[in-house]
Amino acid sequence: MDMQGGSEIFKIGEYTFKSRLILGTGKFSSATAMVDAIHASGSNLVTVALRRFNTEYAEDDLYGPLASMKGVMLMPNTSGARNAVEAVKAALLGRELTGSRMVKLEIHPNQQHLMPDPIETYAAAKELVAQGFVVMPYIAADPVLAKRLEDVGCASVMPLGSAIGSGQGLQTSGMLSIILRESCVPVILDAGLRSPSEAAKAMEMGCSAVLVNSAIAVADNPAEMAAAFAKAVAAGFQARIAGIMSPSERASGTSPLTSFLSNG
Amino acid sequence: MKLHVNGKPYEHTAGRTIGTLLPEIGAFPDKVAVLLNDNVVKRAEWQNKELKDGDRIEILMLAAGG
Repeated sequence: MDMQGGSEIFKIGEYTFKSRLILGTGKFSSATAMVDAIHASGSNLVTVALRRFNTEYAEDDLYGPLASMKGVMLMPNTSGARNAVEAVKAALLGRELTGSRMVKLEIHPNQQHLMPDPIETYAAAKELVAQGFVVMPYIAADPVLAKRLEDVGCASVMPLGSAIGSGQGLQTSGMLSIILRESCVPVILDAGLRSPSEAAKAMEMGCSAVLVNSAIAVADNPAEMAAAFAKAVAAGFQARIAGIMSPSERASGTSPLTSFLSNG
Repeated sequence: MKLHVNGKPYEHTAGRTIGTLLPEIGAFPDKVAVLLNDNVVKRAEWQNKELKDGDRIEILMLAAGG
């Protein structure tokens, strides 16, 4: 069992979090909708990206709304990086902007499927760990890669459930089970989830946390969906701690089966 | 001084450092990070970081993302 997931406090590196739901900030219709959803989720950790400064969009600024939120830590991502060199650069810029040592390391060179590049991710992870970052790599659900990233000092691993933003749910549960069994760092399911029941399932399996973005941001009511995901994540975690029964091929009655109604 | 700022040619007239460039283009210094010729320049170094003709500067800020 993943001991990190089994303890009450969710810890990544030296940081502790009350909530096991991590939110992405993309795709919301407005900064207000995003802030409302973060509040409703109870999340203490949210991802942010980088973009070029543009005088025409100088007002389109996340920093103000996010900085105003108490108890919410920022985790810059390296989205847009196509290789390790670009990812390290993005991480350094993200640290400059947020002051946060946490980085969600993601390198996906192909915009069609957004699958993470394992070779570049591994190279960047080694460099970022050496530079003092708390590295959270986004990876395919590959148990060997997950272990290699743990070995070079990553603070967690973030295997995908399905393609980013696809809403195809938890398609990697077989490989995820192996990662969970082998891992000594928190395993955070990232990407592809569509509905709260899938988040609950990931937590029941032993994930330490779940990262959700699109499923909340594109809901008709993002704040309500954020609250629903929060309940599902908490329920899944609580169920796993409570001890989920083993399945059996045979029935086992829950009521007395004595034949007191028969004539015999 | 002729620079490339965020991929576009830019004539910097107000001074000769990153510290003078940012207000000229309307960037809020507390909300941006700067790459000079692919190297990150820390905020503390902006005032004294001399620019020269042909320098490539990327100015970045936080954005929504997952």
